Amino acid sequence: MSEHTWVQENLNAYVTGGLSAQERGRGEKHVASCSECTHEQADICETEQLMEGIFARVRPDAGLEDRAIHQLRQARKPRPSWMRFVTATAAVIVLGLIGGAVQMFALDGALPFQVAQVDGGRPMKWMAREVILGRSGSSRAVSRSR
Amino acid sequence: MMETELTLVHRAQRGDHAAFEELVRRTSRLVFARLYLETGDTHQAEDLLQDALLIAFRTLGQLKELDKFRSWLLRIAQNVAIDAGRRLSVHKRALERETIKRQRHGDMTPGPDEEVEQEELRQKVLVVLRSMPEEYRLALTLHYLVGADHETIQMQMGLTNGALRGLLHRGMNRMHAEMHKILGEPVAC
Repeated sequence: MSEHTWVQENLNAYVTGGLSAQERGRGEKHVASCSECTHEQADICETEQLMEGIFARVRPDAGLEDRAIHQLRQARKPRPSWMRFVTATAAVIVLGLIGGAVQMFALDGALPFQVAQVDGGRPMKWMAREVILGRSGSSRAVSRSR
Repeated sequence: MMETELTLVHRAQRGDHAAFEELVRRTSRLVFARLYLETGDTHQAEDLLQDALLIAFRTLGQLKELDKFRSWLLRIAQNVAIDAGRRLSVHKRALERETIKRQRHGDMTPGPDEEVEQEELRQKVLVVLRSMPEEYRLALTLHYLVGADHETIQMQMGLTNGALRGLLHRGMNRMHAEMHKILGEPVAC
């Protein structure tokens, strides 16, 4: 590979800081005596400056990783024990209430609280019992009319 | 000596938090670059980075091919960005309605001209970067948008110095050509 080809292939790495000190010296020596490479380097340099100008303000700062790690640590921190106790107690109470309600409803067709009156004054619990026993209001109405 | 990524992923899967944090250090800017490409907004990209890392942390146990950690993490980021895009489009429509409403009421305060120009140029560059082949896209985004140097790009992409040199040589040359199309004649610096 000729010196010119090597420099052409490594000019971008030169700009991004990917060359060793020795390689940088080698590149600079050639560029100083080659108009094509000088022009090429100026071209790359121009794009770099332009990009710097338009993206410098929106780039993430050096603390990006630290912030990410800090947030992760916060997210995996266990909740305080008192909060866990309150959550567990609340869950037990809610589950108990739901279980009790379901049991009463299934056995008596009654809910453990007052319900609105519907269907000509019949409480909803009667309707619920009829549903459980398989007797619908409409079939009763039919049998009554007979 | 620097631990390999494979060892770190293996340790992190066994619940080693320090190993996962090291993986975060090695890949955050790469994921950020991908998210910035998707969103075009620094703050949103950082918020989404956080979401993606948290999902990765919680589901790392499901990763079967440990040597595919980077591509797996980038896929998570991609999905997070798509979900956010859906949410944002609703928000954006509301904002557009609000803007029209303000304009009808005579509030036409434009930003400074320079700011508007820079934003336009930024969006043009983002379009060019998004159109680049996948192999160059992330390296170029890391360099131009995130401002990463050669060593950082190498670490974030898990490449050797030689491999990255070749990649940047081809990718940056394409980028320069595209930039000339946007800007016209080059100006020497």
